[in-house]
Amino acid sequence: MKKVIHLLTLLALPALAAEPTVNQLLAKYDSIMGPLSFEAQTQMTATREDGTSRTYVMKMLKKDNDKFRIYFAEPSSVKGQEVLRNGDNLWVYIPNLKRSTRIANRDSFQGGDFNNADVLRVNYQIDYHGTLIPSDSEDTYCVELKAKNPDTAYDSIKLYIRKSDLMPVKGQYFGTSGQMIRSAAFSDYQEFEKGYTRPAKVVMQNEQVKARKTELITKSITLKVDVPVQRFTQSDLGK
Amino acid sequence: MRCLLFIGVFSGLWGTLAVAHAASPEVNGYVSSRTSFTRAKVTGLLPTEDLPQWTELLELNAQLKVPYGSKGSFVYADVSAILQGGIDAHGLDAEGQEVSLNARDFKITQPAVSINELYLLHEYAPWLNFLIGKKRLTWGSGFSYNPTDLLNVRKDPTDPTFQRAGAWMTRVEVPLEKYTLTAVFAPSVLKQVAGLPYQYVLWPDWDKQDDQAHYQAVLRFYALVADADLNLMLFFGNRYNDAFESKFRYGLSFSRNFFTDYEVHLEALFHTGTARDYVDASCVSSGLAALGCAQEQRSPLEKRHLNSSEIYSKVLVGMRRQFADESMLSIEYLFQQDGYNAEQYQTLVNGLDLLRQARREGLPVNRIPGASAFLGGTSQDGNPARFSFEPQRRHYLFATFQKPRIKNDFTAQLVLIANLEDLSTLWSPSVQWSATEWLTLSLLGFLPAPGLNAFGAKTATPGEFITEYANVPFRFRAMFEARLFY
Repeated sequence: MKKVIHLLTLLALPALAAEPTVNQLLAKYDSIMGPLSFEAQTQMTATREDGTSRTYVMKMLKKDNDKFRIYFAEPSSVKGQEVLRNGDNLWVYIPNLKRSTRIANRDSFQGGDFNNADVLRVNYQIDYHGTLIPSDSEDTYCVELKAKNPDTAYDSIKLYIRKSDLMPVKGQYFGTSGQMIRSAAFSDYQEFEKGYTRPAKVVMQNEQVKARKTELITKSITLKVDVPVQRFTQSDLGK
Repeated sequence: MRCLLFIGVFSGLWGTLAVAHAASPEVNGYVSSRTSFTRAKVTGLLPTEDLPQWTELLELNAQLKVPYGSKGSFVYADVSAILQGGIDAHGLDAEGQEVSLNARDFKITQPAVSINELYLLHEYAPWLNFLIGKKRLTWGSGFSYNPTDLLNVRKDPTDPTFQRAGAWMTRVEVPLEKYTLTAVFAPSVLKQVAGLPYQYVLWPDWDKQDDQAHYQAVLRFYALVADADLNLMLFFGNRYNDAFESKFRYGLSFSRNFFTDYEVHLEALFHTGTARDYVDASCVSSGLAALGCAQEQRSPLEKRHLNSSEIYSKVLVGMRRQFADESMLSIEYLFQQDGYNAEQYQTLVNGLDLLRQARREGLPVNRIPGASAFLGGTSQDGNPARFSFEPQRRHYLFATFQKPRIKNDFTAQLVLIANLEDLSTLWSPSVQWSATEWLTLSLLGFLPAPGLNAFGAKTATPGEFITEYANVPFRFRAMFEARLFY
């Protein structure tokens, strides 16, 4: 009997060893959704309660873990608008004001169903404590994330990660009351650069107003771009 | 002549941009129509003869950005061609009855060009750039009002996004990761036609109003410290938009988020003396006293504290909060030390009351020394203001509440400006509809409320109480704006 148990244990070891830790899952998620530096062309379409939609075209720049800048190119009514993150600080530059003002992480991103931190603060390793919990599917891991600080977008998140390639599949986002505020579906996995695959499409569903959802599509992305640190300063906004 | 200037400016812009080695020029802008009805207050202290009740303003705005050379260098232009007209001014006839003055030739029917911004920014290196041209620089953290803004055309606090015009300048900037050092030299524009400047710094020989150089120089240090924006500013100016000569002024601003969602800010300006006009009480105590001053060619307004060694401050503190439903509340308090106290405001009202009596008697008020300064002036630069905010007293409150998507793409906003001394207020409600991604329709109102008589000044005849926002030349104003983006 002991020999059988020993044999079973030996057989199970490789499988156990392949099981990633929470930190590995979060590191993988961060490297997919928020690589250390990149330049991306994206399109966001917000669908409202009445079924109409608004589409925004943006260029995104990221450097290090805490520097992010977005330039709005379309539609004409917001062209020239910019959003900047540097550390825990966020600013928006409004062309008609000819100046920047501070905004908060949990403010809505351009009136859609993402908030600012969803887009500008993709670093779950830094912002959340993670725990592996049972998933609702055999094909996915489920990581429950609890916010480390109030600057995060949500108080807790349930993140579902595909076992086969560790790609994110869906997310559920909760507020302070414990109520689910948003849910996200990740899809259209594309290899944008050799060895770099990510979901090109994220649909954020508003769980409180079911008719509302916002779709964020990555059109192109270039990793390891060399952008001067000055591009991530308040003085550079609107320049 | 004006048409030629229009054509000249726009073809010049296009030409400049075409010549530039363009990477990918960006073009956008808007066409806007503003129709407004202002119900004139003909019985007030301020004249309404030049205030048409119906006005239409058409604006064609173009914004062009042409990058060249290295990544951070570009040429930028934000120019508006403005055509406006007005009809149906009202005043009083000899019997004191309200009459329409349709026959008057209104100055505002002239077309104009507003060069909001037009500059070249050359980036020698990411940490060093040079700018020459006209640009709107706002370093202060105030939302409705910026005490440290000594350069730009004044903005309208009921709509801070409306005024886009900046100042002509040369600027050198050294941006670093957490700090920025900026040096600016801004020459005064002393002569312009239809918004196009042609004389800077010194008055021309054919109109030598003084021999002085008119300019403002600024050094600014910005730091991002402890998650706060901190600006320290040192100004040195000579006859730049005011009467100060060789004057140092010191500014600071602070902005930081507290408790994650509350943005708190402070902005302050300090200097010795003040360029504010104070009314000589001895000139406005009676009609005879005023005549005496006029005969002596003595202005009833004097800058009596211009060279004072007393330190004057102008301080604005405020907070802004966006709520979960995306509504936004901004509250700001402004203190200006050189504002009129109750007695000084009473003398101002006395002067205005005498001018009103003189107008009713048919006297040539415009020829009275200092009369035009009494009535205030508007800048010739920038977009025509919806509302000109020139605070006269010492304590003010600004409050803005904005709620987007009250229904679909409708945004509601309420702006309140309150004089905290006489409790008079100006309310500006508005509704904006983003009908499509390229068309915005807005309906705005301006409604002054008189406040408490007990805190106001009183005219000699017929003994009416005057508060600051009761003393505007209109009873209400409504405006409809259609803006089409391209």
